Amino acid sequence: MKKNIFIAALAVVVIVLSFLLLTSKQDSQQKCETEGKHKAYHEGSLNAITQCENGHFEIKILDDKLEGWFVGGGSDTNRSVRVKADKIALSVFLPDGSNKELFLTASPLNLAGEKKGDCSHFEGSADWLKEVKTFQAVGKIYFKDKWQPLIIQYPEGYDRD
Amino acid sequence: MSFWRIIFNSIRQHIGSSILAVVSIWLGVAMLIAVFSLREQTHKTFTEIGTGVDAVLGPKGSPLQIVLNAVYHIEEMPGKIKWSYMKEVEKNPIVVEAIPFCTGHSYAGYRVNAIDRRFLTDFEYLPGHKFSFDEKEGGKGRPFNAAKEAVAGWEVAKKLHIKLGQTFNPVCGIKSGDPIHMNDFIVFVGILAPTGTPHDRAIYFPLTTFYGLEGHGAATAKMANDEKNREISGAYLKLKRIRNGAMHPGVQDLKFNIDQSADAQLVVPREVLPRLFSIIGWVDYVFIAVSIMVLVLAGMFLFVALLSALRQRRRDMAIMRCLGATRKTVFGLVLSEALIICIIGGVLGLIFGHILVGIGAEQMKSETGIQFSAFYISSIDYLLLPSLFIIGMLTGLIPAIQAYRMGVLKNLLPVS
Repeated sequence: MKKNIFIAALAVVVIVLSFLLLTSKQDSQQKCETEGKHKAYHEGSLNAITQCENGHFEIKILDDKLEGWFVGGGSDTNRSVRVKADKIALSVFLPDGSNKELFLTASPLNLAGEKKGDCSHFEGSADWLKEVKTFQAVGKIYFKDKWQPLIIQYPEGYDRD
Repeated sequence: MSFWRIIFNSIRQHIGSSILAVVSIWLGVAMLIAVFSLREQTHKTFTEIGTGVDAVLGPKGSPLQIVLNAVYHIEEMPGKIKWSYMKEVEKNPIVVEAIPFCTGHSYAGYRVNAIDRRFLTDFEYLPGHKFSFDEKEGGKGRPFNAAKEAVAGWEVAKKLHIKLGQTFNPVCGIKSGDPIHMNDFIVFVGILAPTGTPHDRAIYFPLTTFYGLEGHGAATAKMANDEKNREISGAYLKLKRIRNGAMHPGVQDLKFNIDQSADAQLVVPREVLPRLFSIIGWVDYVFIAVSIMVLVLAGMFLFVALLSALRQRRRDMAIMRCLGATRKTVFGLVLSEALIICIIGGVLGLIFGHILVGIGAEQMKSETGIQFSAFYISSIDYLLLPSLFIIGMLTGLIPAIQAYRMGVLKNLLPVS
């Protein structure tokens, strides 16, 4: 009799647990999607400026245009960081061994109250950007009150760590 | 005696424990039905109403608070934004329309929102649905045209017995005891047809009237004509859609740009509302767990009841076997008894669960303005009968096996 009760209770517990597991599966999936730390807000490639905690330059290429946003470090990649520059010069290294120059100019986000010389958004265009699938680029930027190297690895993004 | 008659008599013999088992299953099922139905309807309704407003331009602060205030007429707006900023946002190519509003006033416990007239004529509270004043649909009157005119949502009009031509004095605030604009008499000129959304639970009057209400101070009064310094609580934004009605991908860029500003943010209700569910989701799980525990206990109770009934009826079973009943027949009798008790409890629970939803729906409607249906079929409704069948089988299986194995001669021997 005791054995029978035990088997029945065990069966019921198994049913209950599987039911709870099924109902919680959907929620855990949603949780995982939102927990990623370094999220590229514009779905571009995130390039750390020296260190991930310091800040990022997110870039996105559409046709012959490269768009870039200076954003925060760590989980602050959805917050812009303004830089005091009108232009940024980049030396680009292509996979075929050739070098190119690319100039990004300030394109202030008006709704964020940005102005030229104090903005987080930059744009540049070149014909060769249409063809390029991967490249590395280096430059310098006055970011968070000091000159810092700007290293870009496209499309995977640069992360020294 | 027929198979079913024997089962009926058996249940009658231990009617007390059978009724208790039925009631336990009934309660567990009813709770599960009610929790799942309200949970799914809340999720669906909140998400749909959220899509009626593509985005809300609001001040800095909690995005959830902004959605609750702007879309659901609860909570308070965390601040104000500049009219001129809204106009800048309106120039963005993906913004189709911006409808500004000011919240923070009330009347008899209902919110009084100052809003652009386009809200009553152009705004879609759900995709493809605009407000109506048509009497056939339950509305009355017309939108406001003059400064001291107002329109009541259907729920407000019903609860406060508002009639066209009736006047009211708005309260400057949303708490009891807040000052009343005693010299501002605003006349109701329209009642909105029911929408089944929280918009039924508010009163609307012209935005420019808001600034001129007595007691608002000279600086606020000046805002009625001075667009440069005018402030608003926020604005509903209608955004461009792409194929299949999906939101324009540029909304993320627009949101990023606005969110970087010092005073404003763009809140997309569809993104914010899941957060609300993640905050309150644990309550659902507590209810579900309690319901399942009740069902488990009911199952165990039924199991013990069947075993003890079988012990009492050993002799009857043995006689039945002598009279020609096969092992399979007695096995079927015990198993069917368990299944019948489970299914009776389940069906009663199903009906009672939907009655519970109906009662809860009334309460929810009066609190939030959201309309729920007692007849909503949730996912648990489909799973219920198969689950009860499995529970019935599990609880009845062991007693049925015992009945199957029972020795006839041994149980025909005198007990004493």
